[in-house]
Amino acid sequence: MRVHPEVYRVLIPSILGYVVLIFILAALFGPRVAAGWMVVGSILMYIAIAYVARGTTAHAMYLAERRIPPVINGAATAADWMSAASFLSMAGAIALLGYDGLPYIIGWTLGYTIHAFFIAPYVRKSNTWTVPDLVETRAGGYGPARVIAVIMLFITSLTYLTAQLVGAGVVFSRFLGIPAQVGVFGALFGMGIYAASGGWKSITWTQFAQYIVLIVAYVGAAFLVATLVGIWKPLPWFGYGELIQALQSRESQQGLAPWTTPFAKPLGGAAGQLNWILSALLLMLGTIGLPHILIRSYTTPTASAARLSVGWALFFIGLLYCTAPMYAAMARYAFSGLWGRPIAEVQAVPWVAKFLPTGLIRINDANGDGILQAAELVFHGDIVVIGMPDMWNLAWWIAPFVAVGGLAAALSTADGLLMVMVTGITRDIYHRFINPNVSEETEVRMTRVLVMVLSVAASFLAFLAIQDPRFALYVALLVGWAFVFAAASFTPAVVLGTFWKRLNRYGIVWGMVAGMATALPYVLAVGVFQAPPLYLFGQPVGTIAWGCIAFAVNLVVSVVVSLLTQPEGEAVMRFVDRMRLPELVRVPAVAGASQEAEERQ
Amino acid sequence: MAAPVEHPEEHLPERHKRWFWERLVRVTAVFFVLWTVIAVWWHIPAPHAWRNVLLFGNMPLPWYLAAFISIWAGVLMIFVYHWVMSRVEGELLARAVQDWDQLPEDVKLSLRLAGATPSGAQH
Repeated sequence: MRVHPEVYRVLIPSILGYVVLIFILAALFGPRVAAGWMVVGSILMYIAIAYVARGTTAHAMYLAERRIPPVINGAATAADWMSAASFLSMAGAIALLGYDGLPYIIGWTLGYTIHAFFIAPYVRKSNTWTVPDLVETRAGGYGPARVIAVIMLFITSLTYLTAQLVGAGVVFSRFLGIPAQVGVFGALFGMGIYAASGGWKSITWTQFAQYIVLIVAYVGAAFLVATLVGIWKPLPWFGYGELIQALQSRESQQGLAPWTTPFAKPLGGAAGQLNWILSALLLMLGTIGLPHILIRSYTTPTASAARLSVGWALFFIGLLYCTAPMYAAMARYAFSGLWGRPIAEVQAVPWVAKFLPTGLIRINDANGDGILQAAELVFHGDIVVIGMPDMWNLAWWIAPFVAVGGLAAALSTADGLLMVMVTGITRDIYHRFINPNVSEETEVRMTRVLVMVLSVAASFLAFLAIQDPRFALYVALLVGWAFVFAAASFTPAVVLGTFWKRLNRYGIVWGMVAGMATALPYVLAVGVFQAPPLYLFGQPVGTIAWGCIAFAVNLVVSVVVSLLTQPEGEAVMRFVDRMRLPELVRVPAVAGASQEAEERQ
Repeated sequence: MAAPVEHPEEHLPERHKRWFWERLVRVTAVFFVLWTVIAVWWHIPAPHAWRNVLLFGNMPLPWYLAAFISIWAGVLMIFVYHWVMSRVEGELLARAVQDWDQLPEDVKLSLRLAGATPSGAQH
């Protein structure tokens, strides 16, 4: 049986209608108008889907009625996860860092594997509504645990949201010809409206559509370029080694170290194998502690479905993540083709001429010989994905379609973050502490208003970020550190909460506080104030890798404090037992009655 | 008269609950150890010892381990883990049904409504 059949009725017609409309506009008014409408039209399509999938109850707003099938939930999780950073910047980071950028690939994927082992089914089986709700329930109804969890949630999510809106603003600016500062408010319009229309139910179905758009755009453009360079052997993922060999041969002619040389460039302020491993590990630990990812386990029907959904999520994420290094190789190969040519000739290459004024490519004839050396060409990481259609002279509609994909990635993540924060206020603070008797209508209305208010606040932060380059730099850094903070706060609490019954309220609270107190000063000192990194086993430890230390501190403090204080009572033991056991059977009549009871909560 | 319960597993005899949890911990520990291989261990020798090994004739192995193989090994691991755990969960149900006479009435009613009875357990 299909869930939410009303959504299926509009999903396919919306996508097909969008494609047909763009081609009609292109035929009537030309590519420029069609490219603009491609961006705007995608947002209108998301709004249409969100409107049809709108929820009117708290159960739909917060939990999507707990009816999302694993495959759909997996795709929505993938869209929730893959942000503007994944779509626009990750391939660029690998193009610039080579092997030293690969911790982003394994770090941002393999966390999902342990998410399926240690987190997803238990979070779902807890039958709680939010992550702070889970933390408080596990802490025996200890209110301060929920409040601290909400604070951690805001620290992690708000900076992340700001960066998504910056990404969306840049896309608007490039394809609508408006300033990026104005573009961020365009993103607010789209994101706010469909998040407000139906909470997680709307967002889930919109994210599903956004996943389709972003993955077709990302992998489709890469495969087209792969056809041009002839690396289908039998698939481009297996054939781009040829490009790497050709690239490294050009690099050796230019006296450069090969691109795949390990531990040559710093990541998070330090270079070395220990930093590489710890950085990857931290990104994995952070992934499983991010609230907007944790909350996706609540929307499936059962704990088993939540576990399976994580498998689908990683499958869908993997498609993009294994394509990113291919993008990096293809872009670097394209750039290496410019080396050794007269600078005047290089500047006349159409795609170079297009991106030179934007600052994404910089050429400086340092030795004055008129010939471009490798060191005289600098490119910004963002050009790797956005500029790929131009580099390889693809059809006119590919470039705006890639931008639409980037916009989908930014908006889908922004929605998840926005909803998590709004829930933190309405459900975790207002409903729990201020007005437990609030009517469902009031709570739903409040959620809708707060979505718009927080959208405006985040857009304003993004506006500031675009205006001040230093502020933008800090936002970008903070996004990376969001993982440090998540691993230092939520991850140990959620894992220990299921697997160690002796963990108590004081262990949870002091563990989170100690983890954050370990992470924050180091991140500020090394990341912001440029202090030299500390050394571990003779190797430097960067800010991202430091998160592993903070995670370990949280773990140790949680255990020690719990052992030194009173264990939790019988109610918490029963709660843990409930989390640990699978649903043996699903009794339709009882499940229906239970859902009604949950909706009345 | 007994009414069905939504979560009959919570009313199972303690020995069944304990059996399930011990089995879950054992399976999860094995998969976790395998996960550390793809997430950490094989990336330690790779950049040094396997630096000159080429896959498909041209792809440096250390690169490909991190950029492709680890991701899909991670995906495969989740689906296999899910399959194994689904079997363990099925076995828990079978054990519960085997002990039919010792189950509380409300649990029996729930299992019967879901079609899981001594003559034909379903999951």
